[in-house]
Amino acid sequence: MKRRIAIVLGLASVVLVAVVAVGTSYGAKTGTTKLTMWSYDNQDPGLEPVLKQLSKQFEQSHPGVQINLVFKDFNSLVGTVPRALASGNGPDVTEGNQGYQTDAQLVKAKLIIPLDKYVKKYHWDKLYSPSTWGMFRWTPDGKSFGKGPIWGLAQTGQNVVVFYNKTKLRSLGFNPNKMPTNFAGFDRLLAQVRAKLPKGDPVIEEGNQEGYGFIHLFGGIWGAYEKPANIRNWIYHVPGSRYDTPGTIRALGKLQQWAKAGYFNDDYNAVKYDNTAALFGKGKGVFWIGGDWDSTIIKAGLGAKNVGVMPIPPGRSGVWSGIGGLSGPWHISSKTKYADLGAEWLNYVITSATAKKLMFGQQQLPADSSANPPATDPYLTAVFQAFKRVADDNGLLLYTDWASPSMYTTLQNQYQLLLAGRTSPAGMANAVQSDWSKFDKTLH
Amino acid sequence: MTVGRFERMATYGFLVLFSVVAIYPVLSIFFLALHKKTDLVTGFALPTSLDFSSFKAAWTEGKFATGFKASFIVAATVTVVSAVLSIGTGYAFGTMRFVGDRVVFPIILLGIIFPYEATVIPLYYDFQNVPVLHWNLLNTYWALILPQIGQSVSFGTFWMRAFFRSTPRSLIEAARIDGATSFGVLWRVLIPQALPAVMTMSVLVFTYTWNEFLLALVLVSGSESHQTAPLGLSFFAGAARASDPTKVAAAAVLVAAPILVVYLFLQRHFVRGMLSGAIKE
Amino acid sequence: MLYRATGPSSTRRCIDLTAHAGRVAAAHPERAPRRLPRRLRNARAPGVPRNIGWLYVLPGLVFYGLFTLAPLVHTVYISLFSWDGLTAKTYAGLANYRTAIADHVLLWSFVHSGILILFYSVLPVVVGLALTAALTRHAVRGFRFFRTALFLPQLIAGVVIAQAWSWIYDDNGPLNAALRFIGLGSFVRPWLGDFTWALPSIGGIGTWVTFGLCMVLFVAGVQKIPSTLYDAARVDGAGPFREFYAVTLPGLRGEVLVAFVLTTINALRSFDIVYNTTAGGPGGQTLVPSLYMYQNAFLYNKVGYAAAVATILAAAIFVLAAIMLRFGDRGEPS
Repeated sequence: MKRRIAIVLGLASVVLVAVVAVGTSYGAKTGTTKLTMWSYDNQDPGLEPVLKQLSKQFEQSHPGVQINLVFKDFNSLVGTVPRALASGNGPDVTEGNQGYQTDAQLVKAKLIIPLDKYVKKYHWDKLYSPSTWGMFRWTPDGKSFGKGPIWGLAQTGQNVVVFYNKTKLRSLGFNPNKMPTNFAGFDRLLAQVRAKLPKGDPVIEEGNQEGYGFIHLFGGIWGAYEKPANIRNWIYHVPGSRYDTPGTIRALGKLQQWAKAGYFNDDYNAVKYDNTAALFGKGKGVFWIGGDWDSTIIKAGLGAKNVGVMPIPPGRSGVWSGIGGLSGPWHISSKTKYADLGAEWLNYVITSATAKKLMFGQQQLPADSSANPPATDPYLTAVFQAFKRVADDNGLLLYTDWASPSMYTTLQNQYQLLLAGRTSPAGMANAVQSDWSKFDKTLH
Repeated sequence: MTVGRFERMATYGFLVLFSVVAIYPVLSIFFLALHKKTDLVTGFALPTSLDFSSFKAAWTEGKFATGFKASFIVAATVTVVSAVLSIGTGYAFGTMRFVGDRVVFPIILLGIIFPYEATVIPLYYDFQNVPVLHWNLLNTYWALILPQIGQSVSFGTFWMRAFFRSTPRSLIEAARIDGATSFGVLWRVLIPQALPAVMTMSVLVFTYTWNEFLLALVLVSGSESHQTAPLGLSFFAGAARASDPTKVAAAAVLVAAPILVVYLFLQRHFVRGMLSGAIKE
Repeated sequence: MLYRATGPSSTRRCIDLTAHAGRVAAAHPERAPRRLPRRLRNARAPGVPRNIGWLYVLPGLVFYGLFTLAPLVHTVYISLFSWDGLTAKTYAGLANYRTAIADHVLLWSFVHSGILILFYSVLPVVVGLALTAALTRHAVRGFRFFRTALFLPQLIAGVVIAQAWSWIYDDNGPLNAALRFIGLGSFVRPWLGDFTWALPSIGGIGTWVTFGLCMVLFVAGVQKIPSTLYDAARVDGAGPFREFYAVTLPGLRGEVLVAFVLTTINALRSFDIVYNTTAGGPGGQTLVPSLYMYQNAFLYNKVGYAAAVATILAAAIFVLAAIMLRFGDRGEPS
């Protein structure tokens, strides 16, 4: 009996040691160069299949190279990427996030490399306007946003727009081909829709579980009351800029009023952003206000003919605006052995003709301002027009959470409180501004 | 003794109710996983057809082959090593007196109520750059194995000590009289009897290690190849929820399955050990 | 018979071996010492003084010390610095603790944990006691099935529990469907997204996870209660409830204390479930200290402050455990 136990234990330990030894070996296949890319563009349909296909083609044209794509959701990626890069065995190329929470940290801790030499090599300066490049610039100490070397670049143009269910609008007695062209009109339309919709149906289907749903939605309202240039300056910490302006407070009040009037689905804090796009695609709600990167999910549900796309119409200034800018910035790790290869991959997925074709195929807008969508796709053209109108009006409001390392959380909490009626617009503006000020002090 | 019919029915009713409550959540995601991707699932809707495709999809897309391998390597190593260590410490505290034992034992016992969450910060930085040796152990199995051995030693010591204390003194003395060394006593006399207790301890440690999340989130989330199954599930749920809740439900069932299977076959060992009065002080 | 006796099968073997020892002594009288050596003569339970015990303790102690105790000390050390985790540290003394005391978010996170204690600890103990009474008062058919089922929640990974209960609490999920079905449609709400109900909803998950553990502890404890006490109570004409209050409950005192300590500590430590369901939302209503610590360390890059939060949490846990054990001991009949 004892002998048997001894033998079993002995065998078990041998097996264990073998397994552990094998498991901990980093055994890369000899001769293969493996690159790991992290991305949160995990929408399928959407950018995910584009990246997958492009990477496969890249592998074919580069024998011996293996591209390992890892998709995570935004919060998980942003929460784990700084440490992953710092560990030395993390991704070679990864998306980050513009702004003080993520990119500033990556720059300051020297976890990513400046891309200026690749900008020169691949002529990336032609991709976007000089002012757009600002969102990728940081001084090496990570303190000044908008100036200094270039640290990242983006694949697609992104914009938060209004998707509307044409069929449902028609059934309620509205004409989807004559959508309001100013904010007051849009506001009125929402009230009218609410009056005609059955009580359980939301006017706007919204998903705020991750916390960025309302950050996005608010942009269009904001732009109707406050100048986009002021908003951008505040994000860039231009001295003297403030969040708690009368315009912003009025805009927050308008958002709160929408919530009080019952425009939103009541589970908005429990449902995820992309989920609500899918639900809208299945017929829930009349409007979905969110990112155009989910346009494919919506199209898959409702069909291109039944969906309309437009930015939230402008306020009195007449400037079309909305939260948006470009997609997540791609960075190259400072600890990778394959920086040049990584840059080549980036060039391929962002600028090649194949890339643009695939992106359009998934209703994604290449960031390359020279790209035009094929005329044969009216839905895609509508999405593109919505982006172009806002971009041309210089109305892209960027993303508010960029303004400080804790701004994302502050906004998440404040929006939830505001919409539940537990804080006032002025209270929220105050809280956001104090977060900004506290951080601003550390920059000067 | 006669028990009233009403009381009997009430008792069974109560037990059945709570048993259903205990099992239902796992059943519900199992059913959710069996739905087709395109169903709009509501409430108690049972799947009209059993669609196992989401399990396959979850396994491949969630890369659970790697996740399971990682989880198994970590859990098995921790279980075996901490069992060996705990037999040793339990033996010492349970059958011997030595200088300082009254001080050291409570210190080890502290580990049972210890807030491990409070140690992840230094563990991260110390594994990133191990003092003196300057190794980088992040995103390796060691990063998960070493701390969890430390964590399991407390429970293991408590468990084995309680067991060894309950062993009759005369047994040990008889063996000593026969000329056995302390190790001989342990190996020849005590361990053979201790196997059920060791088994119980091992399945519990294996379970807790398999289920560990925060440590994995902090120490190995940078490398896909070393992610444990629960961590993989967390990432998968975040990424795939939008398009396919049935896939996420399937992934969740997959992650829970090994422990459940082991439990159903070995449930004697899980609970029996506790029932045999290891709570004795 | 009052309850199922399930003693360790090992006792039977012990007896055999003791008998064996006796037979050895009898067969080899020359080997049995007439007088035990002083060492053994002066021995008192639990065992003879043998410093070789250190040899057995050391390996385990090293792992424990190195990977559990040392990191805690290190956490306290880090809490004295202002650090973003990626660049160099700067010494800050007790500044992080001063910030912590004034931090409302931290205070509320502890309040939330306190509320969770009700769900993770008090309720499961009560339910566990009730289940124990039901299982042990008289022989129950299917005892093994009940025991297996009721203990199941303890074995499921937190991440899996989060997925399962996110579905149950979903707007279209079973809970709301059940409420609608029994006509309580007005109670339907987005549980995990609701300002008031998110925390109790998480609490509900905690109760579900823990009542099985309490039950198992208590059923084990019931076996130690002498059946004579129950017989006496019956003779006195006690019904099931009186019997419970008069005999079972006092007899389970030790186990109830252990249950309270373990479950309360778990309530304070909870991370997995909150992180994977609400991530502290909505509006911070379900934020708990461990999650706040994680956010500070790995999202806001305030590692020093996070370490201070961790230290405060650890201190709170140790103090609470000490109080409970001391309180429990005092009530113990001598």
